[in-house]
Amino acid sequence: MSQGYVPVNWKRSKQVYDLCLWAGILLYVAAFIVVTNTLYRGDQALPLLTVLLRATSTCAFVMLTLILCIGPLARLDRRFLPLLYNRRHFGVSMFVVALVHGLLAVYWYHSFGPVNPLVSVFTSGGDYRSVTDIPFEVLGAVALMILFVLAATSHDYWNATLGGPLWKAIHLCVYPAYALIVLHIVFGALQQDATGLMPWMVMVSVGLVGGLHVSAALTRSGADRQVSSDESQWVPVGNYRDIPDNRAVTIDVDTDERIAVFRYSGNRLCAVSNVCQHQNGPLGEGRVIDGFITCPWHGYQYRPEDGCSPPPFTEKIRTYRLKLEGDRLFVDAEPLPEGTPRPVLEAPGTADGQSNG
Amino acid sequence: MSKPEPPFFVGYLPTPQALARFYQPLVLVLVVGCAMLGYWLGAQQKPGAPAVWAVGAATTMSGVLQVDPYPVLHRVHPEDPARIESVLLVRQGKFAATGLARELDGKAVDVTGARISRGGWTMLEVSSGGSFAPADGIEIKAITDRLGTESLGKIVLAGEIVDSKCFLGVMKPGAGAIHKSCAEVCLLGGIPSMLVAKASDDRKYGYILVRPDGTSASTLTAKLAGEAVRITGELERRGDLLYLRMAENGLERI
Ligand code: HEM
Ligand code: FES
Repeated sequence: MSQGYVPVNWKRSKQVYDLCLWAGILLYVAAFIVVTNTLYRGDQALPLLTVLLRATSTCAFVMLTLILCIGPLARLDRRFLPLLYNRRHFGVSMFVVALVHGLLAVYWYHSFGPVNPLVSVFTSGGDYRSVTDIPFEVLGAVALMILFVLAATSHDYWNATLGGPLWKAIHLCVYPAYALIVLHIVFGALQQDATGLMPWMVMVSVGLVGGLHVSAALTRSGADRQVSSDESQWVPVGNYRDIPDNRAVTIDVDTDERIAVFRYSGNRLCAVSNVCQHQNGPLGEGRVIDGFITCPWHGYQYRPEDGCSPPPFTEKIRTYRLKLEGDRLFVDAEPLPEGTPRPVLEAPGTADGQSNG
Repeated sequence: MSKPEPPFFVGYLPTPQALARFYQPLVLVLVVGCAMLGYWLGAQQKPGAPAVWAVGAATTMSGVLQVDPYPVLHRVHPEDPARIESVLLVRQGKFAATGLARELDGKAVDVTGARISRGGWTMLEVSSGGSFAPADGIEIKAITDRLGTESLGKIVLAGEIVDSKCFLGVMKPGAGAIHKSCAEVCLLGGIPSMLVAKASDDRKYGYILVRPDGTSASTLTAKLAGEAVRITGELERRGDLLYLRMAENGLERI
């Protein structure tokens, strides 16, 4: 979390993740090259640089597709959350592969000539005035620049330095970058149909990314409870026994943040913001582990008593007040400032008793 | 309410057994899937055009040099001595060989470079250091007399403008939308401009493009590389190359 930054905080799971990732990348590129060189020999051979350029570009595109699928997948099926945990490495690796493609293109298509290759990428090969003649390489180059910014600021250090909202806004640019790359392919390779599967690759990618996002949004739009703000300030949560132990229900009260109401250690109840300070992870889908509310995305932790991360960490989230009327639990829709302590409610003992955390 | 808890992954805690069991086969399938996908997408590429760029292997050809509008070496055809072969000359990179060849214009020369060939076309890529040497033992007139320069009349041709170097074998693809920007830079550097057009026999032919005044049309046509165009002009043959001398305003996009 926020104590001192190191480039990579290696954990065994991250090492395994990266190992599998790069094994996949290298196998993909190797298989692409081997099959090309086996199929096309002699005077039909394709130049190695062209083959490498295509292997890396399609690889990066497949990777970007997968990266964009991880978020909604994890929302739809929580077993995919571990993929999200280390998505940063996936993203940076994708950028590296895309960069190789971009550099090869600049080298192979634009160098050795009378025009500076970096200028040539933006000035040759099309006409901005005509829609059918958009220079597709410029679209790729702009996308690559966006991906560079994302990779360069992907570290938590930048998240903390730039502040959550700005960081989040920057990283949402992965969607425009993806759109630019789709157009890069549509106005480039698809015009020439360089490979027969290319149209399918693009359609499957757009279908997957779009479809998963829509279905995740549909599933998600149901918070556990939706309450409109014209009800009184005390919003009913329901019977506190219905909250699974060490877990939460989320309440949507028409304010900018949802509320996560946790039950833990059997009969303790507390309410905090649903929004993790790290990358806006959904805390209400997290757990209470060792007495701390734990984010499902990257495991940031907060104390139930005051919404503060345990020292030495410094993150804080908003807290909310709760009251019990018999078995019925109510939450005060008015948030308290980040890190404000308020009494944790103790329900008068529950049937299924102890924590299983 | 005491359903078993679904596994909850926290990166810095040991991975729950149930998740590990979920991922082991999945990861295996994904990693093997990467190789299969690479193989599959790679196999879908179209073959390269049947053309060769013998990069790294030097060939020497002897003949008579003609520098304008584009450097060409006219020589006795190696396989058919009754014919003259006209070999286009270009420099390494995206540049014309005009500057290097100028001094020896009209002379008998030995030219050394990497051979580029496609169909009946031959091109020689000379190094930037200069690979031209005066040649003895070649009778210039014996070759120039047989060039048989002739005018073939007015013609209208529709096709694509390419840079001859990439098209004849250096790049694959060496034409089309993908290759447009590269062709543009090549033409700006003076590589001979060429129209690839289907003739009435449905076969594709290449026509070297020149301006109305008979000079190089490379820079003039650079912006239109990779585009479908229609050209009106005069067809001329010199050696075994066909030149299309564009009429004033004879070049239009279609
Ligand atoms: C400076 C930036 C870039 C340049 C100059 C560039 C240039 C090119 C060129 C010239 C091609 C056609 C290659 C061929 O088929 O022979 C191409 C294709 C492609 N590019 Fe890029 N590109 C850039 C960035 C990107 C980025 C960031 C991506 C993201 C993944 C990307 C993905 C692709 C894909 C998927 C293809 C189709 C592959 C194929 O033709 O088989 N490009 N690009
Ligand atoms: S969003 Fe990263 S830990 Fe919560």
